[in-house]
Amino acid sequence: MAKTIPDNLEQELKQVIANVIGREPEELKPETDFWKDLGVDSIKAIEITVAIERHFKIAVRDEEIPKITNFGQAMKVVKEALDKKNK
Amino acid sequence: MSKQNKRIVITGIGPISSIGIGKDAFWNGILKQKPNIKLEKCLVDGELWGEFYTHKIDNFDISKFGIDKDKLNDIKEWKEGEEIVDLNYLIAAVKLALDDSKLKFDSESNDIGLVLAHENLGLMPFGFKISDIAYEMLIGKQKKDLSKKEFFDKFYCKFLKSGYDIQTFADLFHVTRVFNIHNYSLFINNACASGLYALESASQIIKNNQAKAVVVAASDYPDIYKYLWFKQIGIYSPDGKIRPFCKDSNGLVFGDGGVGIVLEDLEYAQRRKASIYAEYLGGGFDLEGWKITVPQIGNTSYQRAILKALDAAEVDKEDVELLCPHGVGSQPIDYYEAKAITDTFGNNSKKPLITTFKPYIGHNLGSSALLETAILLLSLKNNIVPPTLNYDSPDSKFNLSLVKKQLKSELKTVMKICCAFAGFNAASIFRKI
Amino acid sequence: MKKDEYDVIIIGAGIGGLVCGCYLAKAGLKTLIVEKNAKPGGYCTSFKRKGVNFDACVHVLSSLRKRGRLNKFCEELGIETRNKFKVHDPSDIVVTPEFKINFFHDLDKTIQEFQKYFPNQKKEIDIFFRFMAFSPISLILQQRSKTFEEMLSGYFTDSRLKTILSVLILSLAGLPATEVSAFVGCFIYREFLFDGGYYPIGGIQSFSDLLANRFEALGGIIILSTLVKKISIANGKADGVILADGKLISSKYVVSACDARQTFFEFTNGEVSLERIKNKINIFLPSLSVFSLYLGITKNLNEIPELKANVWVIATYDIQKIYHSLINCQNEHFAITSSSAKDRSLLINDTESICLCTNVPFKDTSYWDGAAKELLADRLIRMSKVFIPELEKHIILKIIATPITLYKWTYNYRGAAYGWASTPKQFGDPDLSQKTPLDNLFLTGHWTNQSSGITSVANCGYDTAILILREEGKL
Repeated sequence: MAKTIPDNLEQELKQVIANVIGREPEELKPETDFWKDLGVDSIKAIEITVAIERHFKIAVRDEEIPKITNFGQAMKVVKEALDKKNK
Repeated sequence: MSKQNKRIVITGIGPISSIGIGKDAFWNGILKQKPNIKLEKCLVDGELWGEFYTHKIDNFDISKFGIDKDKLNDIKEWKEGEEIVDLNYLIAAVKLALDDSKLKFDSESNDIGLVLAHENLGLMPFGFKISDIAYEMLIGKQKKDLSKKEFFDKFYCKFLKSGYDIQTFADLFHVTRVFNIHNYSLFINNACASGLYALESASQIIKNNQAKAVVVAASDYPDIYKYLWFKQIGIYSPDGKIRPFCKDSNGLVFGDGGVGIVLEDLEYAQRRKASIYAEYLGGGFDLEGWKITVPQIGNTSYQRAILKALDAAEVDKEDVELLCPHGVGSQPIDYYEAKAITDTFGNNSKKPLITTFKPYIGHNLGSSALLETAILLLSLKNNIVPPTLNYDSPDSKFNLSLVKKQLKSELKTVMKICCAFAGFNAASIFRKI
Repeated sequence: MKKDEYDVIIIGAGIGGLVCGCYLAKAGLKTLIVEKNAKPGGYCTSFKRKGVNFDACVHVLSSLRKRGRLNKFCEELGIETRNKFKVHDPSDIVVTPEFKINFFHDLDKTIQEFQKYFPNQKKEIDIFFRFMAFSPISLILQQRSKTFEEMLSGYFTDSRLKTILSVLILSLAGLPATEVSAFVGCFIYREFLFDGGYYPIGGIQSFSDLLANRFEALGGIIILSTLVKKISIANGKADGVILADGKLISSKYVVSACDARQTFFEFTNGEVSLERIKNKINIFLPSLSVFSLYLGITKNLNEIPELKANVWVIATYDIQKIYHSLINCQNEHFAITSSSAKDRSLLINDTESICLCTNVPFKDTSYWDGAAKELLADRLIRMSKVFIPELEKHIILKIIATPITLYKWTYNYRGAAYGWASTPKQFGDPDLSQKTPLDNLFLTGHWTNQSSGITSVANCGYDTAILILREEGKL
């Protein structure tokens, strides 16, 4: 059964990431750099990926993980993965 | 009813590394605490392609190990003159281990087996070969209307035989043939945990009556290709220092070399009055199954492997006196490992000493677990705990305290653990008897 | 203070435990023997299949001459031995590819026998045999750090003769002459081969029953089919046993007459005073086990009078080859023994009872589950045909005991037939003496530092009893 992209994807994703890094969803602006501005390190980056994968039931490729450096990137990765699933 | 199983012991160690070749030189090198790190330059037709720090073996000559010259020549012929360094390391490691164990067997009928472990045997020479051939063909005078089939025909026949370079059964053939080993033998590739899987396989081969003794050998000779890949994923130390569990860790550094270890049925070893390093009590293995280059922070697969090992060996957590983790010096992997260690041993009244060995010898990739096990076994034998080098700024988030200064300690039960790429988590336990 | 239920509890009713128990009971000590099997005897037991008697592991007794050691124990304990044993002479026959050599009760006759086949070594044979038979024990004890091979080579140059003299040691100690302590070799000759061939009427079990009955008559109690789980330890002393069902039976002394690893790794696990022994035996090599093929056959053994003796067959004179053939379960040496030949009252329904047995390593359970069992059995049958022609045609009953069977029957570590391997390094180890570092815990049987074999373990049982009686001030 095809899974549609949730309407409130942005909100959901913000909540998921915010829970992992211990911040408010509002702090996650598209250009806010996870590493420079929000104290994310390589360990947290993996935890974010784990949480995203679990929540949206997607798989993120190894090489994509270090590219998720801001919220915009995260959205892109999730959307692409969900699109692929829907095909 | 008590356990009546066969018991497995280690009777020979043959290490080859940048700090020493052969058990005595190797152990002295460890005691000296002076690693041999060089800046390796990779030149292509005289042009510098890349350079990287590595623990380099300076002088290695396969002809100096007393190995059957004719058999070595046969391999050289097969490989059309090409010297495959890590294959030679494997052969030398097997010889050193056999010599150390004083295991004698006749050439025609014996019940000795071999388990080889390597992450990428032949891959880089093969890669270079293909690159060379492709380059020659591309810049060479080719017809503009060269069909794909014609190209394939020309290209393919040039490296047809090279397929054997990466078909590991051919290397297993070469090594068993050099030593007249005719019994059940295997080639194992489980990434960096290969060595521990190889030990367990060897132990099972003996327990299943397939062999009385098994030589386990592993090696690696990491080159530019591997360096470039590790660099790309951000895990290679630019300044050539592995800093396990430190705030300023910036990745791993390769190390050349390999090691052979002889495992035997205890009663067989006793009957031939062999010198015994330790008993192999058992191992625990768990596959995380998440990603290849990244461990899944929060997953307890590594903890499971460690607990499975304790269970298999019938050892209490409190009885482990010395623990040797993988210790690659990369934050997420160190974190993953530290969590597994503190989860398992954190609440014990008696905690194991912890020390890691990569700063001495580099990351020997597929052979690292086995080579570091060799150091662990020598530590056990000598009751000396080598300190973790470069452990100058421990990161408190790991909640670990590693040995910083060489210690004398009555050791009995020790454990080697490894969290490899592709989520191969393994733990092995050894006990002095 | 609560009164102990017993003065001594002995774990295991093997010959060592039974003799120990008898001496203690005779001295008036309230003694209990706890045995896990339904009958006493350990390896010294028999079983029946379809009415046919088979002796499990021990097939003959020795040292029952007038001044023999086992006879001495029986006399002192008031066990009547007259008319209780069949005595066969020759007691043992070694069958080589060339000839058959007999061991007689009369030492001179045995010496002449060997001299007949090895005329070049006449003088040496005489000296050697007399040395082994008559030297004071102290002189023989001096030999214990030598191997039996070294001792033989001091006398003989003929390798066939050396092999023949070694092969019996191989069977009775599970080690080649190059590995076994010379003392053990001498002891086996003196106590077994020079005074052997005694068969208890009714089967080997009769001897164990004789001892058990005497023990009970002297006031001892045996409880059978009962497993001990732990030795109770309090205030730095052994003070009883805890059975598998949790029941505690208290006593002043405890004697373990059973498997050493059980004693130190299970019954007393964690006891600090015994750590040293535990660590030591952790690396000790156990002796080989035994593979036995029990056959009920229709061939009348009156036609093969040699089978009144124990027959030892070797297929080659190369002792190292023989030893390695045992280790690899491709046995080139085995023994044939028959309880019905030794005691004709055991001939039931014209079915003779024979046992083909040979030493093998334990290996592991899966090895004996497979084809290996039948392959070795077939091999032994094939090798026996030279002695019992067309053997396979006469077989009507076939039972196999592997090392697993021996383990299950006695819980002896890896089915060891003779306790620890009697190498010069292991034999006589002071840490394995009968008195342990734990107060009031004693050992007896073939896992101590004395030799193995029925006469030796009986002697050990006696020695342990004396140690306890001295402690009690009764001596």
